Amino acid sequence: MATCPYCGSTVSFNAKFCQECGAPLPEVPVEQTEPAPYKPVSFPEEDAAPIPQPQPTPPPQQYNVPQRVPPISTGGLLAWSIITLFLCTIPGIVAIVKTVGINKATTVVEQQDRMSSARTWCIIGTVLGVLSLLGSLYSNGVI
Amino acid sequence: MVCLPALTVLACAYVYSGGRGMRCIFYELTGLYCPGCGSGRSLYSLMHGDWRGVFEHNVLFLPLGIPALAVFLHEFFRLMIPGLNLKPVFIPQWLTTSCCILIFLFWIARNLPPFSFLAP
Repeated sequence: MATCPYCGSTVSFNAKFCQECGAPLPEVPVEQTEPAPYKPVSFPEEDAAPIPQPQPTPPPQQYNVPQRVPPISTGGLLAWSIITLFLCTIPGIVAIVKTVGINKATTVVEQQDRMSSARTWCIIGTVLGVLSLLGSLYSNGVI
Repeated sequence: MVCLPALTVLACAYVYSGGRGMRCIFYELTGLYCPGCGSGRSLYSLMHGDWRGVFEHNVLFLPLGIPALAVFLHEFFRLMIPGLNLKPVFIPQWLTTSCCILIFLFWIARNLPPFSFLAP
């Protein structure tokens, strides 16, 4: 509510004439309130909680899973190793140990290598045993 | 490989004729008995039906040597004569390992005084 500046009676705020004395009332300027400029809310950096960085996923653990290699027939090689043992001990022993390890290999290549090695020792023992036998035959006059 | 059967026959004929057995290089170098020592004499005893002598000279000759010879000949003919359609002999891993351990134990035991009965 406003007051008439001429008669002092109470007039409404937006009235243009006084209702008592009829005097024209001055216009009251309307305060123009502008909308506050938009200010983006910014958090102070020192108070901001650090965004947790995604932890790199560790590489999957590689367990030493023993590879299963299909077993191969070692009967003939074992028999040959035993015969070599009776002919010539040292190569025969080595051949038997090599034969035992054939089907314990983890790869096919390793299995073949062990088989070849056992076969080699069997050949060495057989040759030495045959030479020893021929020597005995010769020394006894059989041949 | 082809002459092995012929050589085996020759060796058996030599042993049967009473010839002296093969000399063991390991025994001559170290003075210790190897697992094969006495196998020639065991074969001689076997050919003459002396079963006691077979086990006295080499106790492993009969249980290991004869089956080994049989398996060897089986595999030999399977590879040399494919027409026979023989199946390969699969020996379990535990049996292979057991044979190896048995041979090592026999080798050590026959050189120890308490087990002198295992010596040839």
